[in-house]
Amino acid sequence: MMAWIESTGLATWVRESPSLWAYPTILTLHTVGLGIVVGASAVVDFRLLGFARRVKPIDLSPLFGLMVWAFLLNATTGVLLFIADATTKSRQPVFYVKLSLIFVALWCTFATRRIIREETPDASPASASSPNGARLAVVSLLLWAGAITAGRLMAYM
Amino acid sequence: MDAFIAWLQATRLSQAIVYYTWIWPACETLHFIGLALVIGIVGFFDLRLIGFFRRVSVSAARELMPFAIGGFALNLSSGLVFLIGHPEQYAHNIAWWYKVGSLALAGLNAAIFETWVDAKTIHLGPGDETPASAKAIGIVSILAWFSVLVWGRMLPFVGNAF
Amino acid sequence: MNLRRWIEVGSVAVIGMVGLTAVPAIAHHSAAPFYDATKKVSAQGSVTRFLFKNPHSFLYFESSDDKGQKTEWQIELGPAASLTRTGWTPETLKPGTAIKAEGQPSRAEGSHGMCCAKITKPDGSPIVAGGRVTEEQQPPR
Repeated sequence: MMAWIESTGLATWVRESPSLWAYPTILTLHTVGLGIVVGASAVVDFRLLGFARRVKPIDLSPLFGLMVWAFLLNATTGVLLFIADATTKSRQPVFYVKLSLIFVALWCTFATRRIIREETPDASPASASSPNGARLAVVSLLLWAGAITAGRLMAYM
Repeated sequence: MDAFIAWLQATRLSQAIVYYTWIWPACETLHFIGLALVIGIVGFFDLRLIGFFRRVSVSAARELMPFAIGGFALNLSSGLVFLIGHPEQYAHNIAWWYKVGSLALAGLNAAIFETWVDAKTIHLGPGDETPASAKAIGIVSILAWFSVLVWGRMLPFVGNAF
Repeated sequence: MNLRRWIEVGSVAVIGMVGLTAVPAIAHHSAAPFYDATKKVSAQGSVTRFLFKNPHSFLYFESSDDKGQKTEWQIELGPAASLTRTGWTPETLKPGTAIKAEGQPSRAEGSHGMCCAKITKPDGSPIVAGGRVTEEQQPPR
């Protein structure tokens, strides 16, 4: 099945095209996406941990929209990168670790968005965040750092 | 340049980086974590300068900057490890020099902000419009930092361009 | 309470998983061959396969010694996107082409891999007339 995926025209093009606009661009867009997703998440997480208290958490809401678009970019580029080398990647345990970490991190992101909307919409800027918010923030930061680590280790394991 | 590279490759530090094979992947991981911090935190502030997130005061949007500086420090140190470990991969690689140029632009832009534009924006509160100079700084900053990222990622692919 | 518990248990499990993936890297184990930059290895033979692709291309060739013992070698090269600027195409190294290669040996015991190689015709001249014998830049890991 993976061998068939790898043999498709699209997968072959990604893998074998010598053009800078093929594989290199796909990989670069994947990095751009992760910079935005993890970066935006970090801004929200640091606020929930009590930094930049003059920012109202609810005012950070547009960051979630940005994260969704950047995530879609990474899901798309990720599929392209996967199919080009499906037989190898499907057999790498660290790839599944990465996907699991991303899945849980996304769950945290949605939970964080809900907390910001429900628990702190009218909070004055300097009020402390809920303990749940702070915990989610720590977990989120660790999960995304873990996802980045797992992603990088795919080149080695 | 080639003599300098040869000298660098012969140093104990360079050889240690090559010998201990876990150093490179570990530094790569730190480099990616650092870039996310810079893109996210600096990017957020730039977006405020441009005029998004208007409900946040400009000075408040800047308060996470120490974490971005921490991210940059991660990238500077891991970057030095790469340069010292395999200088030959960078010295003749045009993507590397474009990356350095982009870094210089980002730095210059930040310096211009600190010296001239900061004073015009520091007092701006929720709902306030930013001046054109601040918008320009924000746009240049985002472009410069993404350029740093793109040229960095392109390093293994653009290599023979000279 | 329930939510918090799940998060705490979940994060410990997840951190544990990440830790597990880190340990093999620290212990120098890797599926991808690492190469010893302090050593040199060279061999001569004929190409069996040329995988011209991203992110790493591979050239396979077979050498035989005086006793007729055949050894299959693997040379790891950079991405197709940059090899193309060396003047190479997927057709450059067809199976059967005679080559001589000198590079850094793989650390993996018992393997015959090399990277960062100088690849020439057996007489030492470039594969493509007037072209390069090495990649300008070796595949970074």
